[in-house]
Amino acid sequence: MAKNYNIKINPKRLSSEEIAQHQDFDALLEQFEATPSVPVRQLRVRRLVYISSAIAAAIALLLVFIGLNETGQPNISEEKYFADRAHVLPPLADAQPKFISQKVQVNQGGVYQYASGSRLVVPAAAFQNDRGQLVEGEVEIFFKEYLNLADLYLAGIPMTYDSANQNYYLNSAGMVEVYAEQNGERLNMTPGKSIQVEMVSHINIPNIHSIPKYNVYLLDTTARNWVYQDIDMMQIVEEPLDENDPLYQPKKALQDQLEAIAQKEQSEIAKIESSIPKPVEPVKPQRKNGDNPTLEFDFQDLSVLFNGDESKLYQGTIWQISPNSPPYDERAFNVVWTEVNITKKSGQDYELTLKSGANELKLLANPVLIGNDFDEAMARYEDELANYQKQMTEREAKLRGQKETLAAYIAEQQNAAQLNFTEQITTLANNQSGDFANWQQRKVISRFAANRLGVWNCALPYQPELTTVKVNFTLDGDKSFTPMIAYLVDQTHHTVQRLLVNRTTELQLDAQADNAILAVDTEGKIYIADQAQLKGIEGETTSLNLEPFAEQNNVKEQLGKLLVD
Amino acid sequence: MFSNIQLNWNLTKKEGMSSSHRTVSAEKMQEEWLEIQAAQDNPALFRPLYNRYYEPIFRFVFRRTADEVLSADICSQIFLKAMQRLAAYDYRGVPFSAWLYRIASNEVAQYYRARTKNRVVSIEETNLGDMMEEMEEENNEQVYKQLIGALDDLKDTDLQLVEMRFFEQRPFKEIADILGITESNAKVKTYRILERLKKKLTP
Repeated sequence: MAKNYNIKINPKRLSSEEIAQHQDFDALLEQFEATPSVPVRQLRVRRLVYISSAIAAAIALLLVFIGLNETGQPNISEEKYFADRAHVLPPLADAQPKFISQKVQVNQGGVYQYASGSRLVVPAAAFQNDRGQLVEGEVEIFFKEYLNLADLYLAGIPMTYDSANQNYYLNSAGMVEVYAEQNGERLNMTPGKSIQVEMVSHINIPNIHSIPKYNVYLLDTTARNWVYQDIDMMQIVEEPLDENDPLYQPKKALQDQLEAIAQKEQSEIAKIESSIPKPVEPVKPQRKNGDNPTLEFDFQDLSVLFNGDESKLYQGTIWQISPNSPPYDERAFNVVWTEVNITKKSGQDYELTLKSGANELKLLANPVLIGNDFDEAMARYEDELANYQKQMTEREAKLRGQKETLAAYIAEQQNAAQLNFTEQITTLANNQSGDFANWQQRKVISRFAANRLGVWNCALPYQPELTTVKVNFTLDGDKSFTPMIAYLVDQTHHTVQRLLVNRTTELQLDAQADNAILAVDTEGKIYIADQAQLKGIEGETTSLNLEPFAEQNNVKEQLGKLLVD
Repeated sequence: MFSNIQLNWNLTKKEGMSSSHRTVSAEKMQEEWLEIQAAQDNPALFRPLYNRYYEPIFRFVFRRTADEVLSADICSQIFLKAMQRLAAYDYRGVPFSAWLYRIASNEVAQYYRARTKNRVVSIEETNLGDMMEEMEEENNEQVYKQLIGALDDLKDTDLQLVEMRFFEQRPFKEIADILGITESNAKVKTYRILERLKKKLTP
């Protein structure tokens, strides 16, 4: 049909990933630099201004960018180097954690569980396109987790956090990356909608009675910073002890001790509570509403036998059948009942057991009042309630001191048990071979609401005591290497920092932490300065050799073993 | 009976729905102008602009070629030319994106001129349905075929306008910036093209 154009109906749509595969600015820049400049139609004066400006800018840039190191070789400014690159720079794209994709019907939403135990709860009508229009039909949700140090390194995202000009590092409990697409088009969250995220990870918690307060941050790649969003509703997951665990005995002993302490705490609280009897809370009178049938018993003329000693309490009470009452036959109101049992149930409900010979009927009823009786009862109730509240306040004040003393004692007992446990582990680690590195790890669930799509980090900000050391780097013994992007992986604080490794580099690190430096050359070969080289690094100047990483295959697994959390 | 008043109302309504998300705020343009100035001084600083616009420009080209590798090649040319001509770009209230789309449009046209191949026009059925609705035409197979035939008869400049407005759902302001015409001129032209198409559909 078409003769002038090649009309394609419903053509294939490319995903952002497919398009990104063709994106290569470095190649373009090379081509640009290799291509003679195209004359630009400009006024001569303007062009001269441009040229002189360009020369001035080039000189200025040269002065800013270039310093000279000891060997007379130029050192590239780290700040400028990274400012000119994407904020997220995964060192090994192929080894990164993979996205898991799942389909969601937009009008229904859904719950998605992942192998790690993490979960997303997606509400209905959660997505819109970049024109602000709600999308309908099927949407694909992509989810990725960065849960251990190897994942954090492979993510290529700096963990520095700038808040009100204060520099922090982020000790990460894990990150999730979530985005959504429809027909290859990236979508946004609808304003007012949030995905509920439950991220399952393992973090070091030396003392479960003192859990650090983690926050939730969203990565802003434009501002090149993490942005605080909320506090992390973190919860420790109690896991059953494994008898094959080499640390089973001390863990079991700790568990038993903590249970004994908890039981003692409960019994002591009960003792304290019973030392001053609790006043009885007055019951608020209810007015007869006329909607439900009522009953009245006359205990004084002994026509009805009341089982118990408190018949006078109920003399004259009107009982209105409760909305919670079990169904009954209305003919019951025509029966002459000769005996009644009254038992207090929850709230305003009382159970009335009515008997007449062999017949028995159970009802739930509320005591109600009418007219002046109700008004008088309400006035009495208000006085009694004020008196009750006063007595309760006085009681709480008298018990508070005892409770605080108990809480301090319990905390002391718990800390002593924890300390004893730590000492046992240390002794075991000193006396036996075996892997004791993860003994402080606990499984936790971080919960938060993600109101935007992107990278979310559950992390603890901290300000380390940094030591600055001037390091002369060699690459496998070679002094002449091209500056490389590297990551300082701090295992103690579960964080990674990005740096540019020149032959001479000013390295800032927490010298007391377990650190390793990982760098990747342009061919994707990994080099490492391991924990042994960096441990206790001190002095103004030192030398470090970046050695080829033994395992260039199966990198993720090998890094996982090296970077024990 | 085709109603001019109704059509104008529809055009205005559609503009109101989408313009706020596709037009660039003055603040953003000012920020981008600072980036452009930096890139004019140092070509390496063109990277953020490249990263920002690579995907939209690629999609623009791909809709006109339906060939991924070819689109990548044309994109390389577009950005190379953009870098080479960046010194000539001046901030006069026209977004940088529109300047890039103009280069992209010219590169696509140049590719087809050199090869005597028919240019690809990508149409989603849903967008065609919207267009028929806007023209107050019945959405049936016969009208659908007639409309495709009528679009095939349009001049390239007219078809570009229809493509950007209805198949890419761009606001008139953006179309005007890309084509270097005024916004009201873009609206009038679109209205006249639709009128011509409408006449061709009459049985």
